Amino acid sequence: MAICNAIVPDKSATGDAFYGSFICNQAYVDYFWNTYGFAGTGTTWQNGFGYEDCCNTDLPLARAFNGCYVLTYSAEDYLNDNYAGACLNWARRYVREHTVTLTAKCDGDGAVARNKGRSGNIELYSPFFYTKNAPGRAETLLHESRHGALSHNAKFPKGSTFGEGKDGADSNWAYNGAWMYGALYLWWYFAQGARTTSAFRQLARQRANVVIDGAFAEHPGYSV
Amino acid sequence: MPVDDAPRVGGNDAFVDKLTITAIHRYPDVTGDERLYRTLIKALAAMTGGGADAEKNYQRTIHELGDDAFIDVVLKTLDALEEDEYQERWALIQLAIDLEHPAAGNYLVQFVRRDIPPERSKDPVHGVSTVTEEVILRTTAIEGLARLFRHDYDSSDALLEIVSSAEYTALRRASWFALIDGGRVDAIERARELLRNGGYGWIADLKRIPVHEAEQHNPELINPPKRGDIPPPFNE
Repeated sequence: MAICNAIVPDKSATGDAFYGSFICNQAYVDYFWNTYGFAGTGTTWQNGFGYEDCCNTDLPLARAFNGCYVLTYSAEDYLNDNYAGACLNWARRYVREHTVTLTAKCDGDGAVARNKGRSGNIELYSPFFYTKNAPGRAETLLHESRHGALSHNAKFPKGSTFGEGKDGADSNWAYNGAWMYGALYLWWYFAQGARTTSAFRQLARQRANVVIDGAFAEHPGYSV
Repeated sequence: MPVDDAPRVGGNDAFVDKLTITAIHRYPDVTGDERLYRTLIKALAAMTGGGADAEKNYQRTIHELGDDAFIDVVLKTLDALEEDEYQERWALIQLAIDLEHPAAGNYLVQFVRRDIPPERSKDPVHGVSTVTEEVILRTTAIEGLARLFRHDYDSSDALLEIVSSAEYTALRRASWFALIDGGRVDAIERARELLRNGGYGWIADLKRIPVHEAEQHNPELINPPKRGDIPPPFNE
């Protein structure tokens, strides 16, 4: 058993103040719990992770639910999750269909989250809850889900913020890897994100561009 | 129904982690004026709100703000934050930008010129890269400078410096596009020359396109859904 401490960022900066008031509803809790891989992982969400107080957005579980809310409802026509459509629409379906379990843990050796052995068993670590805002958590869920199919396969290019020459990049956009899925989600969120603000959409744009500039060995040639 | 308490191979689930909240951050009140502080928090909450009326609420909120005293509070609060409060810092920078107050210009110029602190993360690939967070703050600020051209605040000199010497591609790219948006022909030509001379001429060829014109995912590359509850036959 690991023991960890956490500092909660100001919730008016992360979206948790707002989304928290929405997810405190059994219908959402039941849907997220049974849709995105929480079912059967209850013990990992106890001991301070929020299982006993699932509306408390100081705690990890409610913050994970906030990410799930963004993932589920950010497309205007959220009921359409056809893979032929916009990433904003099908992202929730991809996570739903490719996540077996979603468990909470203290530390993943510095990671935000991991798809263990590409099994669909995704572990969320303390930074997921406390260094990502609500839309950022949605994007992370998609990124990690994609790792069930593909690992990163290249080194970061010159000028990358992730560490030039280190392993962990995708070779290119067409690889359809986790970076591409994450960037595409952010791009659509910027362009068409619903039930959100222009400020969060601008942040999605900035993050998408930094990923496009730094997470592909071969730059895709475009910018958001 | 019998209780399933058989030991688990590996024992993982029996030894779950424990998390303790040690602090809850709040924006510091640098104003000494409770009404002004509450206005700031209300604006930030509107900025990160959700729901059908989220954008309308945010626009209404910032429309009511934007006087000299308020922008001063936003920038002073920003200066009072710790380096690792990335989310809080982003929110204040974005708010300063959305207010489109020329008084923010000098602050943003000074900010984008600041050195980026060294990477603090032990795993910047799978973890939170602090360099990436710092760069996102700066590209956000650069976007703010691009908007301020419309208010006759010209930051071309600072942007050209970044185009010329930034360590990170994202900063050069953001500055290039900010100069394009600024529309000063001499500055754009100088930037193009700097990029070309520095071996970054390709940045000037990047296309800003709508998302639907970008290459989308290939549905044929989607892996089949997981069916995790059925273990495979032994030895297969």
